[in-house]
Amino acid sequence: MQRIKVLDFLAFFIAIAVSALIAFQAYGNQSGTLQVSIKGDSGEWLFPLESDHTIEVEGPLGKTVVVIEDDSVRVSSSPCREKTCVKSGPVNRPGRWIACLPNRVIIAITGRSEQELDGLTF
Amino acid sequence: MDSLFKRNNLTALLAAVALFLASIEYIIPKPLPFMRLGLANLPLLIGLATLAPPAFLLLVLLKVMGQVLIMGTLFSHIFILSFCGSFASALVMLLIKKIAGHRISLIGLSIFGAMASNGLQLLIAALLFFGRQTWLLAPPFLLIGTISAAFLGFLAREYLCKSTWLAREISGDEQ
Repeated sequence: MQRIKVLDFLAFFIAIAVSALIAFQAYGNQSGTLQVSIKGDSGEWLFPLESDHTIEVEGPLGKTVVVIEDDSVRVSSSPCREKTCVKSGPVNRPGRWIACLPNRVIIAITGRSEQELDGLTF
Repeated sequence: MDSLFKRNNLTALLAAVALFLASIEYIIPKPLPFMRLGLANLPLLIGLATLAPPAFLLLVLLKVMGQVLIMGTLFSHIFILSFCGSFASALVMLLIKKIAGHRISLIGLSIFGAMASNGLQLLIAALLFFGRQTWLLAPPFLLIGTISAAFLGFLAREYLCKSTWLAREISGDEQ
């Protein structure tokens, strides 16, 4: 029991490797920028929230126009009757979404974890 | 029964030392909740090297009970975490000790034990209590756990090699 054995080093390196692996998993997609995910009948698109875009999404009723500007996303016009999606205004935080159910368009902001850790006690 | 509890005196004494060290640890302020040394595990490592497996598991149970009594967390989720973690670590250390024998010292055993304990605690915390954010805390938790486990393993091994009292206690028991 005097010297440090080979398996001791092995244990140490396995422990470090496991920690590093979990670190990559946990922090890997943290630094990524926020993205706008747009889902419609004709497909799904991802746009960075920072750049300005105007996207026309084809749905069963017609074209829903999605505008990304000033780090937020909004629906500027929609062929649906209620216009709930237009009235819900711009969203800019991860986890927030806008939906136009009649035209089957869902817009969501993704990227970072949806709830941030804000307190912990032991 | 006689052989099972042959070193019962030593078990009780190590449990008492674990209780004492747990209270010492409790009065040391922690800059972060997971930055703990795990001093109470020191007698467990000595028990791992000197006690029969049943007596060792009894010692682990006594240490967990003593620790949650001192911390005042007997009826909280900390108890579940502590209980599961300690026994996972105890079983892993017993298993690896049986397989590896003299090719591993208390340092390696301590690191494997810490990994089992911390890994299971994180898993339970993620599944039952805190959700996915638990993994944000995982890397520093595991890293500090590894370093303190290696340090404690080193201390326990030095103590085992140098303590004449322990040597007498063990040989006295066997007579």
